[in-house]
Amino acid sequence: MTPPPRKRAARTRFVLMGSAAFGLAACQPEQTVEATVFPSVEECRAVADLPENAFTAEECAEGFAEAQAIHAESAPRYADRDVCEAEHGGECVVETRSDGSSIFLPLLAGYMIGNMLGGRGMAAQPLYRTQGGRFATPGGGTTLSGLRGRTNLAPAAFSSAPSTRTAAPLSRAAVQSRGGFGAGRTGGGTAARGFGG
Amino acid sequence: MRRDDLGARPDWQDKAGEAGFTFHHIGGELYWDESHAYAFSLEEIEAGLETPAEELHALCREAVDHVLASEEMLDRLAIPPEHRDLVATSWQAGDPELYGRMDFAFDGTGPAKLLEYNADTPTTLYETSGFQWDWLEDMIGAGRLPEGADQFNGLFEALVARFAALFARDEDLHFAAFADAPEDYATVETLAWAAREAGLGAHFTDIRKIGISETGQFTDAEDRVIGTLFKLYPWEDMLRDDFADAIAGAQCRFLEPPWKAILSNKGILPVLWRMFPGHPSLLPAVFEGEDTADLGPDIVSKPLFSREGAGVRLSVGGRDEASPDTQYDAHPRILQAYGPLPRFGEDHVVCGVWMVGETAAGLGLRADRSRITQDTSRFVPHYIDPR
Repeated sequence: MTPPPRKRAARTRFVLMGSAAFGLAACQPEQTVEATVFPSVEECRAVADLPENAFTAEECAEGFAEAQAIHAESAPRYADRDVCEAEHGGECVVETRSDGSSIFLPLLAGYMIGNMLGGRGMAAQPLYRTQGGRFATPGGGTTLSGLRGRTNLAPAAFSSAPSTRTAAPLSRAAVQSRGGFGAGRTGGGTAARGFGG
Repeated sequence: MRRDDLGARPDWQDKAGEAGFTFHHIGGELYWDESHAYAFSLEEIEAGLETPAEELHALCREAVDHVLASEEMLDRLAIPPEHRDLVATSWQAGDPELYGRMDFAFDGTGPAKLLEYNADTPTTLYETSGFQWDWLEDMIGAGRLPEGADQFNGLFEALVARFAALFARDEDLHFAAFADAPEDYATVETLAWAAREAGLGAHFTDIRKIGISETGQFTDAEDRVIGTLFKLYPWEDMLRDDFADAIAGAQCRFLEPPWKAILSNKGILPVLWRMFPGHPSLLPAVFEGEDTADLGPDIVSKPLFSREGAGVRLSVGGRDEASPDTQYDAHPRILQAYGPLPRFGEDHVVCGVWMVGETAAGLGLRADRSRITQDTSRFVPHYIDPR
């Protein structure tokens, strides 16, 4: 008797195309979320009732509270005031840890709110000034040119960044470098045919 | 286990071209070889390969625990002392494994013997999960294999399910490899398809273009923060790179997790033999310099770190054979009893059983005239014969 197929896959063929599996597929625009950006809760409230805006004054306040909570949890934290101020082009504030050490955080420059897809409600993120005079979310994953206005962002722009509250603070040496992986030292730096096996 | 000289599909090269499978020849030599195939019974697959692989993976997990409890063992495995906390923390936190491939000497009769466990950066994922499956469907469709013919190949589906279990929908994963290594790239591209089918976002970055952000997180070539990094680049090199000190604070999830540094190390073979001496699926093994009485006269010497057979030396029947690739020769070695590969015609065949999580999910075979399987060894398809 023939045993029933048990090991068998059941699917259509997939194709290696050199890039199609990654990033945005050519013909499929990713869904975006409309984000509105404010330097303060007052500015948000002031425009909440305008017909073109889909948020209420109450949501302005809720969004600001959420941004502050994320700030407390995930703000970039530095061991050195100078590094913090250089990275954020301005004032940083001190926070004292339970072990008595001092950590420096950039000030909240503003926040953004967005209506999440699939009825998941309003989401918010704090924004910090960057070295180049732009404004970024805590993980640095999304950067905006200004603190007022509306823009379309990938939903991931509202994903939470990892907590920094108890993580090791940043030092100057860790800031901005590239190319620190790939030396392949166990193989004497040669990998004629890649690193898989 | 039987070799069938079925003959290749007449249009297989066109099909490979359409599928984007560009490396069916390597250096002018045939790499994908469907001129013949290997037939297994369901019993051979299930009792002979699947069950032992899952059992060995469980033993490997015990061995990780054992190694982490001993500085002497960590020294033996050349885990850098400054990064042992990283490895231990990832194990204690239960960081999940994604995949791996166990290479066995198995001829369908005796117990399969584990040659090594590529637990960190196995490749040939596309050939195994994709093109091999297409071959089976075409052969059945053409009436050249019976309708009930099957294949040990739930690999792609298992990866989709694993990704879906480990990550929230819409989460973004980065896949890093060397962009100029087509075989490595095909493996990460296959993983990216699986991740996308699981509802996740997949992004590619060349491993050499990874940076560190102002917040100490890893970033891709476009400065996007990397929250989860699949790296087709071994932990033994990660831990010796300039960014090694940044890993612990990068708040990044890794696939494979750091504790795979212990399993993807040939030193795990003598550790397993010490812990489970006489296990039917293990070959006797010791660290170089230890008593070789258990090993018998025929011995294989392997560097702790090497892939694709590099640095392997055989001493069988008083005659020596060595891999031409000596780039790993500076490393400490382990010695393993010789577990002969079955021979069919002029080919020595090794059975690679793929693990997804803790489950065996597929099989890929490599064949070579040499007794040392290497990166140019031909990939040969298999099927499960219903008769």
